Amino acid sequence: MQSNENSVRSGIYHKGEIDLERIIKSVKTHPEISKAGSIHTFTGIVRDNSIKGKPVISMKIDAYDDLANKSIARICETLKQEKGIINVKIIHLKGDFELSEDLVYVVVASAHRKEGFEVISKAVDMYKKEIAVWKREDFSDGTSEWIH
Amino acid sequence: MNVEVLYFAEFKDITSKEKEVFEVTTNMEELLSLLFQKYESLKNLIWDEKTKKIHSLISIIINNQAIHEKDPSFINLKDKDSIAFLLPISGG
Repeated sequence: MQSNENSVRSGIYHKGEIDLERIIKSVKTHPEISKAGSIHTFTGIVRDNSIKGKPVISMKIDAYDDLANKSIARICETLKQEKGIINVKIIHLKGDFELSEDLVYVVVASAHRKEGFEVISKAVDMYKKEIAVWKREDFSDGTSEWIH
Repeated sequence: MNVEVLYFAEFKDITSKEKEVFEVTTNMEELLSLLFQKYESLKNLIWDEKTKKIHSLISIIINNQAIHEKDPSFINLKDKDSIAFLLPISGG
């Protein structure tokens, strides 16, 4: 999805297509990055147990790219309007994942740390409710479940 | 006319496909009939037997736009429509 080495668009990517370092580099190319005093990151990774406590051995993520990309762009634009926020990137990966592998990156550049931490938290709450992405947990007993 | 159905999550597991073209002549009711004939277990996910409509939890998307009507006989289709039935989301 990237247009050049330094430009990363928020949205859905295949696992392995992008890493956190490249997203941070992209955030730093923002024309107003000199106004930022902090860059905050959130990385969602695969946990070894489900919300019901069942042992998880792997995970699959599926996405409706067209819809999810629009929703992610809308969330980023909304959050960029908040006071002191310079740039926001949300990258959600899809594919097959092992335990502890990265699933989601949120990167926020802010003038001061307080608003940066707050917007990271808001971004996570928003993408979990608004983007067309589904996860399937694969359990150690051989069963799987799509989480809704 | 031909319409394309996009499959995500459970729907992809059940059909083993990302998308599929169906030939229909009328509306969503006809498409659902074809879908349920071919993939019986899709009916449990999509169809609400109590209301005789598409289940309220399912989001119907046609050409990337949400459709709020749940009665399939009122959802008209046209050639080359792209249709998806989405279960509640669960981001990582």
